Amino acid sequence: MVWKTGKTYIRIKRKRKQTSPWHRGPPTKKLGKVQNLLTPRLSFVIGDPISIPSKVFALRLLNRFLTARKGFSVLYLCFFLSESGCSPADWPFTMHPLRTDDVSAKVKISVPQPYRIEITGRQFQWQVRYPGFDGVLATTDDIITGPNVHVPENTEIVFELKSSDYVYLLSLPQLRLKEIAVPGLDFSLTLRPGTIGEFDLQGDDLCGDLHPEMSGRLIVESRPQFERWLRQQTATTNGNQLD
Amino acid sequence: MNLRLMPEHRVRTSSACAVWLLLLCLVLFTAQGCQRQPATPAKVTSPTAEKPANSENASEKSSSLPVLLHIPKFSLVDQAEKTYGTDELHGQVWIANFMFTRCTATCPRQTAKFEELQRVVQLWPDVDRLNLISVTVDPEHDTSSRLQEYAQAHRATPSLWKFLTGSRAEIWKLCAEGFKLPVSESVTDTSSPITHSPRFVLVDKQHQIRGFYDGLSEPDFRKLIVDARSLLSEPGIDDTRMLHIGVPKDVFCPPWLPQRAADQQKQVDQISVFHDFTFTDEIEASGIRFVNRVVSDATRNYRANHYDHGNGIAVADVDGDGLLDIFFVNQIGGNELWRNLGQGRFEDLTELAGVALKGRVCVSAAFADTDNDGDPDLYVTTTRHGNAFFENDGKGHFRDVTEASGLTQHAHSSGADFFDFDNDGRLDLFVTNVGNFTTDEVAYAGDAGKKEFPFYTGITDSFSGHLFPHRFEQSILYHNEGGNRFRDVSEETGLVHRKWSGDATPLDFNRDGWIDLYVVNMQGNDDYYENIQGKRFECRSQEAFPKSVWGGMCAKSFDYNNDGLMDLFVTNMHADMWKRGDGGNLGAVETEKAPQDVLPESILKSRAVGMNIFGNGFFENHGDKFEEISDRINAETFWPWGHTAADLNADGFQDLFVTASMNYPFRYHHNSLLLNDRGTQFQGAEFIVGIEPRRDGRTASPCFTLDCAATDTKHTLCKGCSGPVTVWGAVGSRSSVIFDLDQDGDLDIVTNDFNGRPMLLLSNLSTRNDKLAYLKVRLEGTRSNKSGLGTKVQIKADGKILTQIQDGQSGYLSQSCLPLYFGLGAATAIDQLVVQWPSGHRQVIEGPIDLNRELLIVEDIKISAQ
Repeated sequence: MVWKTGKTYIRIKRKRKQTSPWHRGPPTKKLGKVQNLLTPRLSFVIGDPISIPSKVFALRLLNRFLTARKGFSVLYLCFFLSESGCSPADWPFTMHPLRTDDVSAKVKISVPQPYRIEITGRQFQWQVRYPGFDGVLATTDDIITGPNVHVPENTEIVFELKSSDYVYLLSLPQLRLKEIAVPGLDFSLTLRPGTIGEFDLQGDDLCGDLHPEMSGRLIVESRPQFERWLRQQTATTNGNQLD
Repeated sequence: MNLRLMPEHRVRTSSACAVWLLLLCLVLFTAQGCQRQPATPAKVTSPTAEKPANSENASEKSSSLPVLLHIPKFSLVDQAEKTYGTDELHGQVWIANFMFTRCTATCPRQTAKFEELQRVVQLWPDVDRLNLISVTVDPEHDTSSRLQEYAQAHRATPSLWKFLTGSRAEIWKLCAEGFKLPVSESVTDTSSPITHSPRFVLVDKQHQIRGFYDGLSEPDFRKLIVDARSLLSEPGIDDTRMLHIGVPKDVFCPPWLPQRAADQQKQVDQISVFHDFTFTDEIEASGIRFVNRVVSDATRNYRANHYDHGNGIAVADVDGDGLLDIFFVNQIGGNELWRNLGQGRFEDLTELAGVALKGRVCVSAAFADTDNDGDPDLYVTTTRHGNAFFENDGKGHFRDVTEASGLTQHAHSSGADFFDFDNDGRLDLFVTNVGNFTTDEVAYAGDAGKKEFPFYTGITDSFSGHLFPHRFEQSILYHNEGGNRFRDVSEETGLVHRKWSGDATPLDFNRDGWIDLYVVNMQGNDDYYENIQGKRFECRSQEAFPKSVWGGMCAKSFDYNNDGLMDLFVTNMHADMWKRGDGGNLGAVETEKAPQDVLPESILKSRAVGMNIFGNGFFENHGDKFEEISDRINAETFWPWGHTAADLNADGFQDLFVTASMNYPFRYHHNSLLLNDRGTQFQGAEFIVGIEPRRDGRTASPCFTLDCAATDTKHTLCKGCSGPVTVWGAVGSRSSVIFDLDQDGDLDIVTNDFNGRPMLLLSNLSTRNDKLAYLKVRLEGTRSNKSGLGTKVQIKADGKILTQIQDGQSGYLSQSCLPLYFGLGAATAIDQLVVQWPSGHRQVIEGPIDLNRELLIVEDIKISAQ
């Protein structure tokens, strides 16, 4: 390390000893259970452009952990975990599955055309199922939410309408669109929203009054906004519909 | 210079670094923890709560009234000089007002409103848990005896309406501290009343004030009634007593109904047709005890399916005594046949007749003389329990000959219509089958242990049944082979109808002497089958009716403008189901047709896109074509089931009685009486001639009972309740029949209501119009079928030609054996009567023919007066 102060250079030349916390020893071979903890945090560290200095520092801690002797390796690991957003509840080595919010910043979202969204009527509620990051429905990364529906603008959208019990009508009155959902049959509604904004989304059972639980909004947003929203959603456990 | 660290310094430096490192990381961790929430594990549940701001449970929407104040303990004296106060009112809902007998300002109007309130609440099943409390604010003058006189003068029911007096101090304190009303400055000042507040105050079972109302304002007054009803339905302090709940909450007293009545009353001067007569519901005096009962799919386990379509009502003289008897069809519990004793009285003939069919879910009934032996036989349809055909012995004893007749059928049957399609003098039969709307699961409407009143539970998506070909059922045309034997000739005649239909009407639309058939389609466009020489039928729906009703319920023909051509009226319930209102009164929307794009084509499957009639269809017959004119002639009604055409005011033009209303869990809706204004338009007059309001203003009846303490704890309506609950739903009529029930010369109306008692509406036209002129015509075929079905009768009188066809089409899901009734207006004699028999024979009777009697016309042979 060299500190430069005016014209005086002070060089601290430390003899690298194995006792030094900064000693770059042989890499720790057995990461074991902590690997799962590291990977998302590494990607988080890489992915989030905010607070670059602290990210640099975190990387250095990681580097030290990987190469430090035992004793200090634990210390470096804990500091790295805390720097990358680990809460006390996660300490010290809780197993986590791969978390979407941590990988989302890295993983590219596929929005194929047409972009298919499955909307299922069940017990007078709409269940909205998005393809997830892979852009394909009925895969493990599908996202289920409702009753609002988010769609990216200038994209051909296909609502695949299903019902698990009654006959429902889904309508977008401001867009003059409507379609039915019938148990045992598949219907679809195609739209290509060109205007960013929010629109009424209604649902009823063809018996007069609207069901409040089936009223929501069609939210048309820009592609980046849509992707950001998608990243924030919770993934399903196995992509199957929920009961 | 180089600074070289000594080994001992290196160790200290290492430790110092570690400490600084530790501190730095702790700081960073804390900062990060503040900025970013730790991600929780991916726990997946039902759709995440991304609900719009207005999203809330429908039941929570009608949440309880706010608690405003608490009434402190008080004790006064009532008009009977008994102590009356908070102790006596414990557990009661009460409405208070403040008056004094010497008042000439607002008090008389307030008291009048309390009288109206008393009339309304006395119909409520739990009226014993409600009190009206009038507190005098002039206690020195208004003693108990004075209040007693006042109470009697205003017809107060003593147990319900209390007039309280007491010491000035007590009342002053109650007004000031209890009700927080503006009071006179000094409690001892007797020169003026204690308070002049005109407010009505609503207090709940725990002496908590839940609302202040301006009783003299109509909207506030209506709200008070609805809120008082809500409080009575609130689970309270004593849940062992029966709790009565209305669904919807205002079903006992819809706030929009009085205004609608008043609006129609205001237009009475604009009604040019004769309307100075009234109907009175005399069901109590008639002795008829029939009650229509329905499956639990339409009540406690509500699901939308075709069970809510109700039942028919058919009339015929079953025992040959010259009086017309009534057959009520029941969904659950057995049909009933009531014998007419004259003067509006009836006796139960069911057991003797053997027509109850108690274990079957019945739907409709048709009387007709199928074996031409002079007495009416009977066909009854059911839902999957097998239709039944009864042969009458002439004395009202019916023998089940279904199997021998070849009419065995197990389907979801609906209407049945007898008509002679091949003019062989024997009545053939068309049975309309709906489609498969049930599962194979059997439930019991009675005692499940005894397997009482079984029925097949309905599917949850009945009204998309037309999208599934495997659910279709074919309606059947049977040919009468003679001797009450029938044969299915649907295929060989080409009348293959596989649609979701509930009703049909036979009529010779093209006047070629062969009776055609119009079949309504509840989930699609109606169909018209043209009879080709009695040998086959061709579907000419598109040609004859390019604009077609979608969702039709009932079709009947009559000559509305006396041009000699039979017009067709089709009621449409299903399009009205899609209309959205404010949850209560729909108002003007009721008489509008739904737009062409009301539903997507994926469910409409229109025969011709853009050519649907999403409302009633009134087809005027121009001879070579039909023109739809319902909007022009004011024939659009709301939630109609079916109709009966008859000249109710005997002015020579056929009027319409249209039954309407869904039942639980929907709001109440009224029947319609459309008076025919000389063949130009119809004028609604149900509130003017006494069709509405119903007897005692009833709009609700008990629907089902729940045991919220034990067996029904999970039922949604048991929420918050821990005792017995009776759920009340809207009353509603389904079918109707019009005939001169009491033989006084005017036409009366009998209904079969859904899940309730029928109405027996007797007309007083004969007493109101001393120039009443009518003629009844009874037909008896010889070469034609004996019932005379298909016969056209034309009367020339007073410059008019009145045309009727005897088709027995007496109403929704019903066919009857009735004489034709011609109202003759101002005519004093009939110039000519012409009878065109189905056999082709034409009989002409030259006038003058006397009025106000019944003529029996036998084909070819003789005419005699009855």
